[in-house]
Amino acid sequence: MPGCPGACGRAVIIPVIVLAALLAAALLTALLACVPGQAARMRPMLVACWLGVSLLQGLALAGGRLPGGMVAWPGVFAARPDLALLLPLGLVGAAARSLRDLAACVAAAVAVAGAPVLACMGAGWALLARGDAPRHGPEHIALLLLAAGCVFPTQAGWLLPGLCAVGTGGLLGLSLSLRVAPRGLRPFHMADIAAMIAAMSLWARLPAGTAVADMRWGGTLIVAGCLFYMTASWRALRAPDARRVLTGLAGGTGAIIIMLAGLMLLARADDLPGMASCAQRTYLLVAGLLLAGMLAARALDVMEREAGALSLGRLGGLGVLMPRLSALFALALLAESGLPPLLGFSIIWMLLRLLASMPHAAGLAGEVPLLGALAVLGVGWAVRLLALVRIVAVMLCGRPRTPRGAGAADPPVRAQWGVLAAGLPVMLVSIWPGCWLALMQGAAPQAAGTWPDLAAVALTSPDGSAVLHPARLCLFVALAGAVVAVVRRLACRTPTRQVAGWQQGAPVVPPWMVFGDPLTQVGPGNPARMLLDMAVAGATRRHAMRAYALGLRLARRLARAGAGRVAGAWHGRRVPGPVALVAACVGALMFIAWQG
Amino acid sequence: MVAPFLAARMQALLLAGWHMALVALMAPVWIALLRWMATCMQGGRRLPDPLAHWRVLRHAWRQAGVRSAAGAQVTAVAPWLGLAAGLAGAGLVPSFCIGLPGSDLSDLLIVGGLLEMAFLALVVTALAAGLARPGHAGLKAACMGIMIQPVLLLVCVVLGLCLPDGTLAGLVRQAHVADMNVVRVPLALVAAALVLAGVEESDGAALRLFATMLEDLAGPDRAVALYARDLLAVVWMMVARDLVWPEGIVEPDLVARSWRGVSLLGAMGLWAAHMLLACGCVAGLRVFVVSAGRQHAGWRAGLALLCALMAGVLLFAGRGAD
Repeated sequence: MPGCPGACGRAVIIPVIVLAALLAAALLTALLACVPGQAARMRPMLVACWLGVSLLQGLALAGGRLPGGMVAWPGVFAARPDLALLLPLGLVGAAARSLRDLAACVAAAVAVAGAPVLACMGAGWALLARGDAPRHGPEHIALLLLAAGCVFPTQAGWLLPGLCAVGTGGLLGLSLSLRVAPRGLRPFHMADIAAMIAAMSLWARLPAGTAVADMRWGGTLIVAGCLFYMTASWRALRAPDARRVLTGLAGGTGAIIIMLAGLMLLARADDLPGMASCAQRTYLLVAGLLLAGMLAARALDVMEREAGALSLGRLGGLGVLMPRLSALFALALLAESGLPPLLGFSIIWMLLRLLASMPHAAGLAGEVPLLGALAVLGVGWAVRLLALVRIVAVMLCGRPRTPRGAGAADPPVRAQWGVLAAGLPVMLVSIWPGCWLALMQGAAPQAAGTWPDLAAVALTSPDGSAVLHPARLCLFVALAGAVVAVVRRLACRTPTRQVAGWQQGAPVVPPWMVFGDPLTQVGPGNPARMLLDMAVAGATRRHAMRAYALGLRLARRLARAGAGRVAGAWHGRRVPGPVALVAACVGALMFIAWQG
Repeated sequence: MVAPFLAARMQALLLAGWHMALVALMAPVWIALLRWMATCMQGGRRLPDPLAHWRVLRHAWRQAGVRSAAGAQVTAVAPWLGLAAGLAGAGLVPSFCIGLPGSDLSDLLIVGGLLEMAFLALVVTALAAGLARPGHAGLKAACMGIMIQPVLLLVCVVLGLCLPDGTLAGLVRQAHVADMNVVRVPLALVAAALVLAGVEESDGAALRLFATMLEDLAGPDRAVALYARDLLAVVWMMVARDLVWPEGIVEPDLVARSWRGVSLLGAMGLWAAHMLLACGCVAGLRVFVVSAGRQHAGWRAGLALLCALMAGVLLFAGRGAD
């Protein structure tokens, strides 16, 4: 977390065996890229390497003594507590399938295990591995400056949170854009989870700046996080296919990460250790929530293989056609939704307590920003829930829309076990977050062989007055479900008749459309339109859109005219991108050297 | 040491069973009385029939079960899931006493989340078959009902400022030892916000949407979905009642003092009276506030958000003045 004092100056230690497993994974990935024909042989070895990384790191965090000793290369590797993110990263790497995902996992491992400069290089590599490289120029420049700033924290410490926010914006999927066109919103893969882990690692090791700068950056990041959360939820609501919906949801998780970083900076600036500890625990829970994204991505991989392209305009009725896979996918969505009793709810609960305990000015003027932030966050949460209702309504409910979709079925048992195994970690973290937090915080066991934090299954608010028991909540909900299931079994003896319900007075459908007209059921475009109708009347919205388009056209014309005057001195020649990049980097380094 | 512990546990289990039975049996009664009050306010003249809604449910239960073949497996499960989530929510909201087994889980965010889950399960029931009218009605209901999330967040923060632990059981405990008149108005505004956003009975349009959602369902599934919807409305009203009159709830100690049984009966009577009043308030909202010529769908959500914001502003302004 950006609150660990002297994060850059700690002893530099990494277990040799973990390093060896990482190197083996990187080597195998490179071999896979060179010899794609041998994929079937190499894949089990890759999975074993990544699982080994996760397991060994877990053992190291639990206080176990690993064979081979430690590597201590100052300036190359990170300190041991900062390596905790290798644990979820190993699980993500084991679940990765495509070459791009594997490359992103190796890049994220470099970002997690490396010292600041290496970490920034790893984050830049993760950006490249995710694709769309030409669009990430500002992020790369910011990462370069961040690396320089981490080396000279006394000179540029006040600027680092801003640089980190810009640099990790691409990795966390942060954007204020509401557009959902394919070039604006990329599909979700394992590489995105790896990139988020890399970004979390960068935030975790941010050196401390001045108190005033931290306070200002903290407030800015919290406000920006609320706005990012809302826009990401809106993109999830409007996205045209299932993978892009998940990209929107992951953007919301990225916004929560930014908010937590802001809260951490505020806690550090105001010297509030309780709030800082609570924010750090929430941060680690968010790392656990990324495993829900992993489950969803694995389920979508299998669904894509069985039912074809995941466009929401094509899918339908998967809940009946592939019930087991759909149940696992729904579980991942429930964890992401923030409804009880799974991990998303615990995070929302902690975030709410953190926001309420935020230091602020007394009286109404000091509280209004908090109320505004909560209202924006709440609207974002509502839109996120509606996006989840939409994907469930269109994908899992209803009737198939295409013959390929109608032919979908649950995959072979082996593939189902794979998806189930991907879902186990998030279930364990949801039920027993104390175990996850104890592991990730590197709490060493006591002499009697017990962990002090392991017994603490409850999550507490920053002031310690409010307590949440996730395990008890899960048990309570399961108990209510069991009671209702028993009542249903005892009371409903007579079978229910099933009738075809697709006609509804419409003429008989043609023989090639065996499931009826697909347009008569709920489509992916309906929820957003209904929500807009609820907020603003249609006629007013059309007027506003026309005024916006007109204003945009005028602004573009003005900007073009202004730019033409400025660029007139160069006779209309444009400066190539790489030249501008090099010039900006040289300028920034000169600035830092001058400040030093 | 063991005997008092076991006695306390047994007492908590006994009270929890009684609480659940009371809430589960009375939910359709409150809905029937609420509809009668709304009819009276609209000019209708007829005698109250508290068991009318129970008869509707019994009639639906006895009908032959019919489901659309498409999505039949989802339709078979979703109403029961909604019922389970609603019952879990009802188990956490104190009715006449605290000290039930799940009282430390009675955080408003947990209760609201469980009720929201029950609501979404009912929406999925409408969407499962892929039919046009129920599906679009379900989606519209989801758009209207989902706006409780910002209200819930604001309410939780306001409640967190009034209480140390933010739970309803904590509110009741504090009401027994402290003067609640200082925060009575913000809490009443919070209760109004929750009732406006959560109780569909306060909006005629939402009721019509719900009827459309279930129009192709018959048999036990329909009865369970109807009952779950009633339970949701009643639990939201109970939450509002607990926020406004927390003093009406007692802390039981049947083992130590024998006369406490009398106070429990009194608390149950008070609960019934308060719920009747809450039904009247909801009927008044439905007749005079929400449906009085204002057909815009966002009206209810906007009003609820305004109430929650006003509660926060009042609370903070009061603190600033102190």
